[in-house]
Amino acid sequence: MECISSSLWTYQSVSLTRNSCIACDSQVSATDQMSRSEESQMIIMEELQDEDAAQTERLRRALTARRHSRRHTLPEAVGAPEPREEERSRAGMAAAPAAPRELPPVPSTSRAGSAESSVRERMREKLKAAKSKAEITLLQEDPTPRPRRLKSIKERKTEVRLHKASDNDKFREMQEDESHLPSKIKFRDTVKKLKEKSTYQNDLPSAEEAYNFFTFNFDAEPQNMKAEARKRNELNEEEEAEEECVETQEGEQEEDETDEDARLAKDDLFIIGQTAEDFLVMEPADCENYSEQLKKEKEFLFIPSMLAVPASEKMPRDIQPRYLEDEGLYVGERPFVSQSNQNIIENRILRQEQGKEWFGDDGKILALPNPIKQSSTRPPIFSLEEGIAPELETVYVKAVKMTAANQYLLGPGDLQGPFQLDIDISGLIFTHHPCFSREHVLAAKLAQLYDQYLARKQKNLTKLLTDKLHVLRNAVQSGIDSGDAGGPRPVAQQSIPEYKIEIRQTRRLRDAEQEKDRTLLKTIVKVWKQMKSLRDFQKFTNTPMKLYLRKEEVDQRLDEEAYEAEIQAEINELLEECMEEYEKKMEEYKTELKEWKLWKKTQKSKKKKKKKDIHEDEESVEDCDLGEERVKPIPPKMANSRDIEQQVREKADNCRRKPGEPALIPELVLSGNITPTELCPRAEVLRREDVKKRSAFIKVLFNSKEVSRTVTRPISSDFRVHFGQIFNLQIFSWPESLKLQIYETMGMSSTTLLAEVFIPVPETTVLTGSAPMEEVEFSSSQRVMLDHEGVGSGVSFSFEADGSNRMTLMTSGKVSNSVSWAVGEKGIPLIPPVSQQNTGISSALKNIDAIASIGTSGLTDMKKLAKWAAEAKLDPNDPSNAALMQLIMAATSGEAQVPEFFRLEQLQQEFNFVSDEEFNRSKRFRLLQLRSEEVSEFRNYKQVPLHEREISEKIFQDYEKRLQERDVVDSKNYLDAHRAVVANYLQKVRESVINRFLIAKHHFILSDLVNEEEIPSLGILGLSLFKLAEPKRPLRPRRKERKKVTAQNLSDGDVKLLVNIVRAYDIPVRKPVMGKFQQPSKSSRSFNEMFAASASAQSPPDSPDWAFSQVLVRPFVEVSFQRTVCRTTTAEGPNPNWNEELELPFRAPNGDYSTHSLQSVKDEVFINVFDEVLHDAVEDDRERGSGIHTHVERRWLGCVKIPFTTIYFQARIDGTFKVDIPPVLLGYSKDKTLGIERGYDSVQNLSEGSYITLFITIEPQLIPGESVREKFDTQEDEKLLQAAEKYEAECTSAFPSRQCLTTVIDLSGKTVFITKYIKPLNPPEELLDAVPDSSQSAAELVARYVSLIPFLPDSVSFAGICDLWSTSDQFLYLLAGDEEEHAVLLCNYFLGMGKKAWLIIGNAIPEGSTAYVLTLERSQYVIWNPSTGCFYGQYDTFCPLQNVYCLISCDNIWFNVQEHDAPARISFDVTKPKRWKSFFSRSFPYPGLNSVQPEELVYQCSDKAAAVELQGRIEKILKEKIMEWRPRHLTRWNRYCTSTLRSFLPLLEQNQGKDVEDDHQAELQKQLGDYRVSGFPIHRPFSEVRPLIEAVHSTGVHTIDISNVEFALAVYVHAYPQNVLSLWIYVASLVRNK
Amino acid sequence: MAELHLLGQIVGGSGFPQRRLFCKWGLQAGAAWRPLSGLTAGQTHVDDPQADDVTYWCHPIDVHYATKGLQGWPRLHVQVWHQDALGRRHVLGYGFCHVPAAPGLHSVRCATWRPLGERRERLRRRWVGGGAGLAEPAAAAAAGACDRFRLRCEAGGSVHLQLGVVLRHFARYGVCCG
Repeated sequence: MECISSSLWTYQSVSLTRNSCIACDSQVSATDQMSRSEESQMIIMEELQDEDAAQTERLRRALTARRHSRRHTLPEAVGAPEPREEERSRAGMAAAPAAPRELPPVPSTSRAGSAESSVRERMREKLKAAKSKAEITLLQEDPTPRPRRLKSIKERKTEVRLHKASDNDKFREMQEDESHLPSKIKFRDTVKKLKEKSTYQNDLPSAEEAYNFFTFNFDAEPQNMKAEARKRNELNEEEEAEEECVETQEGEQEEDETDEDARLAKDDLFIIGQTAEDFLVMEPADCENYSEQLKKEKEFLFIPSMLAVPASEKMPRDIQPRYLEDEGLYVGERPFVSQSNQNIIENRILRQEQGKEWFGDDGKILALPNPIKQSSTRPPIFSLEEGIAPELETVYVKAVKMTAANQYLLGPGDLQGPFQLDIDISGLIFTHHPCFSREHVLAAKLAQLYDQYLARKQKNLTKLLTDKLHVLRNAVQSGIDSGDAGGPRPVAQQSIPEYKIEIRQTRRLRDAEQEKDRTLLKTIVKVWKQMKSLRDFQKFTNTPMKLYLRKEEVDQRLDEEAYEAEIQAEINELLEECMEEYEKKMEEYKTELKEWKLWKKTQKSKKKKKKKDIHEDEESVEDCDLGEERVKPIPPKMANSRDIEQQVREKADNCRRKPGEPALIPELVLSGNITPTELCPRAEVLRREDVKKRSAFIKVLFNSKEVSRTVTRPISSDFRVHFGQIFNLQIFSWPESLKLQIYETMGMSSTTLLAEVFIPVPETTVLTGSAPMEEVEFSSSQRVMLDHEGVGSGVSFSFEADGSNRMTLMTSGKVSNSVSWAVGEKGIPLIPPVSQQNTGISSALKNIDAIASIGTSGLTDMKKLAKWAAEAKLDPNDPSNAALMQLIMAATSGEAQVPEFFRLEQLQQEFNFVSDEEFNRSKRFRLLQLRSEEVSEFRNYKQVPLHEREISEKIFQDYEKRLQERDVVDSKNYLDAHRAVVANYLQKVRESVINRFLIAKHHFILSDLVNEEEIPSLGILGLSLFKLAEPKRPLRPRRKERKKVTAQNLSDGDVKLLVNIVRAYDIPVRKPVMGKFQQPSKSSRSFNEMFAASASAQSPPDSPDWAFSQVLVRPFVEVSFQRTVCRTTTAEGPNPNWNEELELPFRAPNGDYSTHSLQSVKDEVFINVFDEVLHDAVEDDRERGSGIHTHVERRWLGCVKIPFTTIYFQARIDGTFKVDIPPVLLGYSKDKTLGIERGYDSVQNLSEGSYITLFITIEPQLIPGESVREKFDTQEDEKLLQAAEKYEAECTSAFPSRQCLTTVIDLSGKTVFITKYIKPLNPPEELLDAVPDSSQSAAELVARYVSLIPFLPDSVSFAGICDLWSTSDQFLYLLAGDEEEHAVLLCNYFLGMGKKAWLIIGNAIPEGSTAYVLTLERSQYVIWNPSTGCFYGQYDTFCPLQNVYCLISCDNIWFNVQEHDAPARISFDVTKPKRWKSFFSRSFPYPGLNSVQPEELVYQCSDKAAAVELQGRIEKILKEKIMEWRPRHLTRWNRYCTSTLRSFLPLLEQNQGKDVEDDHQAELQKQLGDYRVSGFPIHRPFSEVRPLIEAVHSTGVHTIDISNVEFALAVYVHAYPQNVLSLWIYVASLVRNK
Repeated sequence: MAELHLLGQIVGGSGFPQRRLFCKWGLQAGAAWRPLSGLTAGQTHVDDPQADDVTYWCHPIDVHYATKGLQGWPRLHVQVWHQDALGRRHVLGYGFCHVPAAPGLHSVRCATWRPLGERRERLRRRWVGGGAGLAEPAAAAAAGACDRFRLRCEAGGSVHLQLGVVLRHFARYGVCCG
C-alpha cells in the first residue's frame, strides 16, 4: 500500500512537473510544492478508499485468527464478553450514521493540527461505508492509536473535565486507558501471522505478504479506534439508560473502570508470557530486481523519447507546415533550446489529449516570441563587484557651512555646476572651391559618385528586394498549390491577393533600384572618361584619382537561365495583372452597358411621348439633351501578351545587366601621380600658388557667441584642411544653438566668412568616446572669379570646347566634427538637466535609425517621431520595437498631448477615480489652489465652501477677466490713451514685483519664528519691585506704551482710526456780500525778501472797521474715510479750537489684515474744513416772531489729505498741517489782522494759508511690515557694494534712527548705487522760455512742472515692499511716481539749470520717510518739496521736512553726523567732515560711475487739441456725477456763470493760482448781480478720472439743498510738454438773493 | 476627487548619536495627487537639547491634497542633518514613511538609516567631519527600501511624527479607509 501510494505519488508529481513544464514555469516555489504534495496526499487517500474493500477483506482474514486466540484468553477477564460483543456490534450498526454528530470536534493539537484533522475528517467519512461492512469483525481488536495523540487527547480531556464532568468524558478516559493494549495486540498479531507463514514457506515472504506488510495502513487505525470509542460511548449511553433506573451511575462507572484495569493487566501479562521467537524472525533485506523495478515503473512512468517527432504527427492530417518567415512576416527569434529537449517536450505533449493543439502552423510548439521574462523574478544576487544603482550611489560630502541657497529637500537644481560639451573638429573637405581646376571638379564629382556607389552597395537594396520578391512568389505559389491540393486554408487564401499586391510593389521598387544602380555605374564611367580626356587634353594631372573597373565573370548559362526565369515570371505576373484589370474593366463595361441600354430605352419611349405631345416641359427637353450626351461604353481591350513581353524585355535591357555580361565593379584609388608644378602651364602654376596662399579656420559659436576658434591651417592641394582640435566647452545650461563658422584667409590680410554650419546639440546619450564623427555639409553663395586655371565659384564654366553645357558651382564642402557630452569623474556625464526639453524617450531608441531619418533633434519631437513611425511602417509585432510602438501609440492617441513620463504609472488611467477633466473642473480645488498661490483675488479668501455647489461661477469671473484683459488697453477709465498704456504697464511691473516678493516673503529668519523674551535679570527685578513701592499718583498719569497687535488676529470692526482735531489757524473768513474791497496786489517777491520778512513786511491790515463789521466764520471739520463721515461741532471764528476726537472704523480690503494687505490700502483720510452758513429761511415775515426757520449751508474751505499708508507706517501723525485751500474762495478772504491782534507768535503769521493741528493714530496699534530682506542681483562693482555696506553699517550704528541710503532698486529689480540717479538734465525748453529773465521764477515753474506729475506712492503699488526708483525718463514716460522720482527729477533739473542742488533723504510730515531737494540760492539754502512744488527756507517753521538724514549729489553721499537733524538746527555745509560723513573720500575716491539717467531728455510737444477734448469730456463726466449725487433734487446749471468761470481758469493757470481772488469776486458780482455765489477752483495734476470725482465729491458742493440753487462747473486742462496735464476744476453754487 | 488633508508635526528625533540636529522633509506623491495648499517640503530649525537626547522640532506640516486615484499614496521622507560646532552640517539619516491611510491622529516613528561609506571615508568622517551621503537623495527616497541592500548602512535614530489625517470622499470611490 505504502509502495503503491509512493509510486502514485511519483506519478502524480511527475505529471505535475510535466504540467509545469508546459506552462514554461521553470521555478516552482516551495509553497507550491507544499500545496501540491498535500493535494497528492488527498489523492492517495482516495486511492486508498477504492482499495478499501480489498483491504478490509484481508484484514478480516488476518484478524479472525486473533479473535479466536483472544476468546481463549479473555473470557474470565471480561465479565460477559459475548453479549457485550453483540451488543456493541448492534449498537455500532445502529449508531454508525449518527456517530459524527455526536463526536465532539477534534481540536487541533499538533502543528499540522488543522490540516491533519481535516484530512482525517474526510477520511473518516470515506471509510464509513467500508467500515460498516467490516465492523463486526474489526471492532474490538483493531484499534491501534498512536500514543502521542491519545495522550494529548487525554490531556485535553482533563482540562475539559474541569468544566463539565459528563459521563461521556469519563467513559472516554476509560477507553483511553485501554489504548496501550490494542497497539500491542496488533504488533503481536502481525508477528504471529508472519511466524505462521514462515512455517510453511521459505524465509522470503511472498510478494503479497510483503505488500501487506508494507502497505498496512497504520494511519487509518486511529479512526477505527475512534469509531470504536464512539460506539462505546453510545453503548454506554444505552447502558446508562438501562442502568439509570436500577442503580446510581457512579457505581456503575467505577465498576467499569476497574473492569478495564483488570483487562489491561491481563493483557500485559499475556504479552510478557510469550517468548522472543514468537515475534522475532530473521529475514534478509528485501530487494527488488532492477529490471522488475523498471518494468513496474513503466507501468506508471512515461519517459518521452528524445527522437524528433515527424511533422506529420504534429500537424493535422494533410496539412503542410506553413512558415510565416517565408511569407515575409516578422517572426521573433526564439531563445535557444536544445533540440533534444524540444523533442522531449514535443513527444510528451503529443501523448496528451488534444496534444496537437499545442502546435502552430509551422509545426513548432506555440509559444510567445520570447517566453523568457525580461526581469528575473528572483532578486539578483548581490556581489560587491557589481555596480550599485546610480541613485544609491554614495558620495563623500564634506561638512560645509549652511548656505541659504539649497533650502528645500526636493526641488530642481540639485544638479548644478559646470557641464561640459566636447566639440571635436577634425577637418574640412571642400567639395568645391574657387581654386578647383576643372580636373578637381570632375574628381570631386567622381568621388561623390563613388561614395554614393559604396553606400548603395552597402545597403544592397536590390538584392534585398529581389530576395523578398522570391519569397513572396514562393509563398503565393505554395498558397495556390495548397489551395489546389487539400482543403483550402482560409488564411493563406485570403493573403494571396495581398501578396500579389506586395509583389507588384516590390517589383516596382526593385526595378527602380536596379535602374538607379545601373545609371550610377554608367555615370561613374562617364565621369571617369571625361576626366581622362581632360587629363590628356591639358597634359597634366592635378588629382591622384584613378578608377579601375573590375570585371567579375559570371557563368553565362546560369545567368541566362536566371535572367530568363525572371523575365518569364514577370511576364506571367503582368499578364495576370492585365487579366485582372481586364476583368474588372469588363465588369464595369457590362454594368455601364446595361445602364446605357436602359437609358436608351427610356429615351426612346420619351421620344415617342414627345412626338405625341409637343408641348413638353422644358425640363424634360433639357433632360433629353443631357441624356443624349451619353456615349455608348467601349468594351475594354484585352492586353496582348506579346506587347507585355516586349515591354518587360525592354525594361530589363534598360535596367539590368545583360545575361552573360561580366559584372562591373568600380574601384577608386588615389595612387595616381600628380604632375609636378614645373611641368605645368603657367595658368596652372598660378592656381597652385593661389591655393598655397589660402588657409582656413573655424570658429565655434555657442548660443551665437564665439567661444573658440581653431588654428589657421593652409588648404592643401587636395583641398582638405586638417584641424584635429577638440574644444571643451564648460557650460551651465542647455545650449540653445551650436554653430561653426568657416573662414578662409587669403595671404596675410583678407578673411572671409565662407559659411555657417549649425550643429545639432547632441542627445544626452552621446558621450565623449562613443560619439561618431559626423560630416556636416556647408555651402556658400559667395561669388569668386579667378584669373587663373581655377574655375571659381558661382561662375559658370564648361568642360566642352565649344562652351556648351555650362555649369555653375558654389563653394561647398564638409566639416567633419563630433559633438558630445563629456564624462566626468566616476563616469557621470556632465549634461545639464533638460527640463525644458521634452525628452520622454528612453534608451530603447538609441539603436533605431529613427535618428538617421529624422535627425537627432527629432527624437525630442514626439510628433515628428510618430510621423516617421507611421511612414516607416514599423512591424508592430517586433518586440524590439515595442517600446517605440508604445510611445507612438501614446503620442498619436492623445491628440498630440504627450505624457511627460510615458512609462511611469502606466495603469494610472485605469485606476483613476475621475477623469482629468472632471478633476480640473472642480471649483473647490481651483479655489483652494488659487488661494494657496496667493493670486490677488483669492489671497485672503476665507473659508472655502465644502461643497462644489456652494461655490458660484462668479467667483472666477473677475480673475478670468483679468487674465484675458491683461493686454487689452482699457481707455475708458483713463480718457487718455497714453495714460491707459502706462497704467497697463505699471500694472504689469507691479504684478511681477509682487510675485517676486511674495516668494521672498516666505523666507523667514529666526526672529520671525522665535519670540524669545529675555529673562529679567536681578537688577531689573529689583527696580520693578521698587516701583511697586512708589506712591500712586493718579493725577499725574504716565504715558504707557500701547500694545502692538499682530495682524492675523484682527477682523472687521476691530481697527479704528482715531482722528483728534485740535485747532486751526487762519481760516478764511466770509466777506460781506456787497463789500467792495481792494487788496494790494502782491508782486512776485524774491526769495530773500520772503524768508527774511517780518510781520511788518506783510501787507498792512486793512481798515479795522471792516474787520469788525464782517460776519464771522463758523468752521467745522468733517473727516471722511472709506466713505464714513464724521464731523466736529461748529466753532466760531477764524482760529477755532475744537479739540475733539473722531472715531472712524477701518475696514481692510477683503477682510485681510495681513501686513502686505494693509500696506496696499489706497484709501485716504480726507479732513475737510467747512463753513456753516445759516440762512434765514422764513418766507413770510409774519412768522418771524413765532419760529425760527433757517437753512444750514456748508461751504467748503479746504482740505488735508493723508493717505492711510502714511498713518499705518508712522503709527501716529501729530502736527500742524497746511490746509489745502483753493486759490480762490468766492465770498471768503484771508483775515490776517486778527492773527496779529491776538498776538500769536509772529512766525506763524508769516506764511499764507491756513493750518490745522491734528493727531491721528490707529487703535489698536498695528505693526508695520518690514521691508523685505532680499538680495537683488546687481551690476555694480563688488568693491563698491562692500564699501556701501560698510558705510551704511557704520552710519546706522552711530545714529540708528537715521536712514542711510546708498543703494536703491531700479524698476527691473536690480540694485543700483544711488548717485547714479543724479545727473544734470535739461528741463523742457518751453518752461525756460516762458520766463527768460528770472532764474527764481523759472525754478518755481520747473518745480511746479515736476509737481504736476501725478503722485503714485510705491508703497501702494508695490505693497510696501520696497522703493523702486525709476530713472527720470522712465518717470516722465510713466507719468507717475512717488517722492523719490519727483525729487530726483527736480534735482536733476536744478542741476541742469546750473544751480547747486542736492537730494535730501529725510523724514517729513505727513509722508514720513521721503526725499526732498535742497538748493543753494545766494548763500541761502532752500528746501523744495518736489511733490507739491512748494519751497521753504531753511528756518521755516512750517517746512514739512522734519529730519535730514543724508544728502546725495551726483558724485557723493553725505550722512548727517550732527547732533540734531531738524533742518533749522543743522548746517548744510557738506565740506565739514565733522558734520557730514562722506562716502567717497580720499581713502576711497569716487571711481566715476556711469549714470543710469539718459544723456538728455526728449520732450513731446504738448497736444493742445487733445487737452481741449479731454477738458470737455471731464466736464461732462463731472456734471453727470453731480447730478447723480443729487438724486432727489433738480440740478440746474447756470450757463452764464459757467462761461464766466471758464474764462477765469486760464488766468489761474497762468498765475499759478496766486492773487486773483478778488478779481473773480468782483467780476462775478458784476456779471451775475443778485446772486449769492460760493465756489472755488480745484487744481490737480491729471492722472485718472476717479480721483477727480473723488475730489469734487469731498468738497460737498452737491450737498446744498436749497430749492433754487444753481450750479456752475468749468474745467480747464493745460498741457505741458511730455503730456503733463494741469487740471483746474471750478465749481460754484449760486443762490439768488431775494 | 477625493481629498486628503494632512495636519501634523515633526515632533522630533531620538536615538541619534549627535545633538544639534535639524530635519529636512518632503512629501512625495504620485501623479494623480495634487497638492492644493501647503508646503510639501521644508526644513526644521536646529535643536540642541541640553538635557535629553531627544531633539524637538515641533515643525508643523499642513498639506491639503486632492487626488484622482489611489496610486502613489503620499509618503514623507526625512533627512536628519547634524550641525557641528563649526556650523557645518552633514547628514545623519535618511528615512521615509507613508502617510497613514486611516483617518485620525497617528503617531508615527520613522526609522532612519545612513550609508556607512568606505573605511577611508569613515575615518575621514571621524576626524574631519562630513560623511557619506547619497548622491541623489530624492531618487533614493523614491527607490525606498527595495534596493538599499546594496549599500552598507548603519541604523540611525528615528524621527517621530504626529500626523493627523482627514480624508474626504474616498468612500465615494469605493475606497474604505480606516
